[in-house]
Amino acid sequence: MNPQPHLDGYLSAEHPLSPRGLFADLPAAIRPVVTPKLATIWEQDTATLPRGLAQARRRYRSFAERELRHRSTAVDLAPHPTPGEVLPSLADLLKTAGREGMLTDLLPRPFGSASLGSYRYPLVWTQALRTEELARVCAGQMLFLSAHSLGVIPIIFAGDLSAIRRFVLPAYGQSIAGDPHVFAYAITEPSAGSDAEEGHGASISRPGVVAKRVNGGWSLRGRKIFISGGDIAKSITVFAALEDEGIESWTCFLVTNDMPGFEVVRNELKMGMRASAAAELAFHDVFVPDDHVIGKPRQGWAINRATLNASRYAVAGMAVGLAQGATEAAIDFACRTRLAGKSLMDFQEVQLQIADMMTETAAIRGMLWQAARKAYVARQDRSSMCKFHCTDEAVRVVEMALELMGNHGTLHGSAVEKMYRDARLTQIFEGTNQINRLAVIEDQQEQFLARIERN
Amino acid sequence: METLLNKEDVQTVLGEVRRFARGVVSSNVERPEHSLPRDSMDALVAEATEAGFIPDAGGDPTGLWVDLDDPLGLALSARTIETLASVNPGIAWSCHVRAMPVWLARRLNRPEALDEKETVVTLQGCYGLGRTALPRYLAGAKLVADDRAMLKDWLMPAQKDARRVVHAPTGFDGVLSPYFDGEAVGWMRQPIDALDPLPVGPTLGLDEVDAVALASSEAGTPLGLEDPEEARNIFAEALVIESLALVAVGLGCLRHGRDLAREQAKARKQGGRSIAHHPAVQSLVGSADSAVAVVDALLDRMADGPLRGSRVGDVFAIRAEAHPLLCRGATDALQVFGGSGYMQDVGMEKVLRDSQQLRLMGGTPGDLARFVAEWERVR
Repeated sequence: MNPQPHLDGYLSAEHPLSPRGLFADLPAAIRPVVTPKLATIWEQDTATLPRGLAQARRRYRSFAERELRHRSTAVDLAPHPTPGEVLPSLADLLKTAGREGMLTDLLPRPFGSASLGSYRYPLVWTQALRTEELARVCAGQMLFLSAHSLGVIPIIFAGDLSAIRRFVLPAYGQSIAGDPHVFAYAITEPSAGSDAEEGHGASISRPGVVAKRVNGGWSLRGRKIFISGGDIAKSITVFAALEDEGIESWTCFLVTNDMPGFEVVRNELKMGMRASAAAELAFHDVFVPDDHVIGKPRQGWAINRATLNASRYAVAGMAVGLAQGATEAAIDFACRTRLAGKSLMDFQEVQLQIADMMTETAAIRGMLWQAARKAYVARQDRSSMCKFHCTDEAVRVVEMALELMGNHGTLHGSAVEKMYRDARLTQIFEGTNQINRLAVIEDQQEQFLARIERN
Repeated sequence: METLLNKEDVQTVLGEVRRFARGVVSSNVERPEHSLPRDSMDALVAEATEAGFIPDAGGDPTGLWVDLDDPLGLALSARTIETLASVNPGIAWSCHVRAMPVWLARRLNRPEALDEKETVVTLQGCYGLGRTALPRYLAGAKLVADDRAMLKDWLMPAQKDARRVVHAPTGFDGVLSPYFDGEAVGWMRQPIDALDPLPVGPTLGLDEVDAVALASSEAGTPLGLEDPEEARNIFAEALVIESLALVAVGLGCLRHGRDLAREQAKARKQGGRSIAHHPAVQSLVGSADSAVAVVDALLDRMADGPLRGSRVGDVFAIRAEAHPLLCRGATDALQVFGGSGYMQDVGMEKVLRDSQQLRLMGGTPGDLARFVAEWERVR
């Protein structure tokens, strides 16, 4: 069946008033300036990227479509795994991701899988492109594959080459060989959620995981909660305060899951992003040798803050991907659903909603890329702005998609239902959006103080 | 007209409902992460019927959506649903779903409409609210060909795979559906088998209630209405009742969420003191508080006076604003919890999912707003 020549209320490309045809009659010198090539928003955006990143974006999209799409519904509906258990489908995904370099792209070849060329651009930009493309298809699997990088970044940011050589490189080698070695990042504690992500709160909070000096190393005791991928991680960067000291003494320890006293207590029952478990971890006097201290003692808070400053770009990328996925699902629904002989896409109220969704998504992507493009230094203010604004707007876009689909959107099969549950997490983790707003102010406070003094 | 209910009566009944909700219902839903088994739901609904909160098909019914000519009748039903929803929105919605066919059969004066063992009423067509055709029809405007085509296809779609979505406990045998005969909306009793019911798995919210997608079919027994004006009124009245139910469930749901957020704000410490002292948290709790207060007042207005189909525009206008407010309050209440709000065992994420689910049922805020614009233009 031939497609209809135009949507209701619009002109066909052949109509005498259609700019498409009229532009073609303009002088040859002007034509290229006013006549863009027909292209989707995605193609237009990809064309603005440097060649290496454009290739990476296409690769991430291809991987997501090939490996995540067909698993998305089943892994969301599957019962939460008990600690130590991984759905066979996700175990396969992990192996494939490892072999294809998706678990090792923080370091360049031959140590990891990133091309040297990609280091011409800020790493956070590449990571944001990655989380966008994966989250567009399945945010749960995106988190399953990406929380691992969050566990590795502290080791890199500690600037400890020995630690990278001893812990990251062998793990990367295993992953590329098809035996995935997953990392996790453990900061949140039962009595310290936001306190672990914000300086003022941290300064007066009581640490829950404490490291006691023992012969040859440290003994860790306490609990961490909501640790993404903590159930499957072989290595975990754990932040603990030194005995009788505050959070300013936070030190980053590399704990492996075979250390005596380490326990994955349980996996939480989550609203969304269910492919990735949020684990509660217990440390029952876990002995961590001195050579498993990442960086130096008492450098943990700095490493943590630097890690969050970088990773919040990636969270913003997730949000953009969810908004994009929801927009595409709404467009698909509008094009295949008919009412009174017309496609929903013919109705102006539907067109208005879709235009809003496309534009909001483009706006947050633009904000993120603009900030990430120059983020060779991951600034706290910019990363937090991107994190809270992109995630808030993404949830709004997903809500618009739900609204467009009406009660059909509430069904699990709509995909948007899952996207809403997934998107809601992005407003919470890596610091709630309230904490991220305060982080912007914290990072700019010298500017404000200078003004207050002048006045 | 004789006034059957006074405010004391209403308070007495609501007191009984409250005791039932807190004493009987709450013990069944203490673990928000566990969905209520179907047999428990059936037992609770039977107990609510026994207690007189849900009308029985036979005899002289009492309970939800009975006595709606009484100026306090709508308010009593709406507040009954809200009270139940403050303990569990899915159970409250199920009680409404059970009561609705009884109201409709009585209103149509067709008791045989309830011949099926369990019957549900569907009001919404395959998508949206029939665009401008529905308000034009309900306002008594002259219908044009496009309106007729829209109403017909909305209620009984021609597209092969188009389906109406019904949110009701599974196991119902028959459906009372509106259809458009070219002039007026009539009612038809359809056996479930004729509608090729398709279970569609879990939904965003109301975990206790199942969703079924029904195919289009002309098979069924028309219940016939000779007076077109009466047919129009009955459809409009049904839409008013459903809107009241949706807002009442939403209000009860958020009341519960707001209480959870208040408790969390008091108990949780951050930065060395209760988070209730942090302006960020105060803003979030205050948002939930104000949403509850505003929608509470709006529900009063929606339920004020006897049931009249002519109030559908006003009721839709209120609903169009009430649900976004409830959703905003719910998401802000959840945010008070930080990470734990995302976990099912806390119960807050269910409040948010239920709130969003209710926003999308029976016409979205956008559908309702466009309905109101046309309704006000033509009537």
